[in-house]
Amino acid sequence: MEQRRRREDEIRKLNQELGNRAADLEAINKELESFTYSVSHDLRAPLRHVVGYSEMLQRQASSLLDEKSQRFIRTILDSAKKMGNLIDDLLAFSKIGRSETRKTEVDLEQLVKEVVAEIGQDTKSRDIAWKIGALPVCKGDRSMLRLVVVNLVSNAVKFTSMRTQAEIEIGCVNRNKKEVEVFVRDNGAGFDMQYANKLFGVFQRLHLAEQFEGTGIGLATVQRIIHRHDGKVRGEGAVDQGATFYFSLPKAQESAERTADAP
Amino acid sequence: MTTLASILIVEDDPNDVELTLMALEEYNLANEVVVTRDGQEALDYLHRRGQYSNRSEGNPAVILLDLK
Repeated sequence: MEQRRRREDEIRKLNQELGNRAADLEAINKELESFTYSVSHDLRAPLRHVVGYSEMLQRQASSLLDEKSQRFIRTILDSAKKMGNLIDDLLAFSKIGRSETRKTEVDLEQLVKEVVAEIGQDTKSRDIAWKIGALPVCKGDRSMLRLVVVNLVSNAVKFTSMRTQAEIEIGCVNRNKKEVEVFVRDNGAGFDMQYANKLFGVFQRLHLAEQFEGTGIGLATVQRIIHRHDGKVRGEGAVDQGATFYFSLPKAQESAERTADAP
Repeated sequence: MTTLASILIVEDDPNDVELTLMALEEYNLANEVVVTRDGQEALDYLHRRGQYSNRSEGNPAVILLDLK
């Protein structure tokens, strides 16, 4: 009896410590969020001036400058705009961490078709074979999940740009009662599985900027949103063999029952 | 003859003021452009008080300001 009580005391104490630590972590995370936000917000003003004044200089003095000096101005502008894109992405990324999720039932199939139709508008010049499988209704924040799908689908479009016939498939696997795992598969550039752990990091890029443009925040955004939905992300691929990205989400109640009834 | 309404800019950063003025200049607008440095000064302008108590009547056509 004595021993049992001592053990219970110990467990209580450990639980208390764990609770304290979780609270500390949450506070640190919040602080980091507001830090990221203010850094990126305050960085924009001076950058706007760099772009604004370079453009004025370009307009006002271009007839006086030789080709080399004009190139210098163009380089300043290009770099400043690139930095602007990075800051915008970082801001958007930090907003995802801070904003509340509004969870409703989301028809994934409809969402995916919507996104593909939208992105298809910009890729009319390319030969892309789209394949969209049946997708269930799940529970989540529609606008956030839309961002996940937009990021994954535009990645697939981007990394298949060198294929004369691109194939992009969106479907779902591993259906069970509570969870759905959606995948986006392409036959594009792929990646080395050795670096799979870097895929979802902020500003991590596995390809050269000259080869595929982008800031390196897309998959970090995907991961953050899916984590906020208590889901998981993963990627599979091989160099020049295409890539598949998976994300899991909790199913909506009704949809879960429907699947359970299926033979 | 009706007078043109003014354009009111509320901005404390001199660089942003200059860039905005240059951008407006390009459109050759005949409207008077008024620059105030903060919200208080902008309100003084709108209510025609303080240094703006003698300005002619009428609200600006546009107010350019950033809100946090």
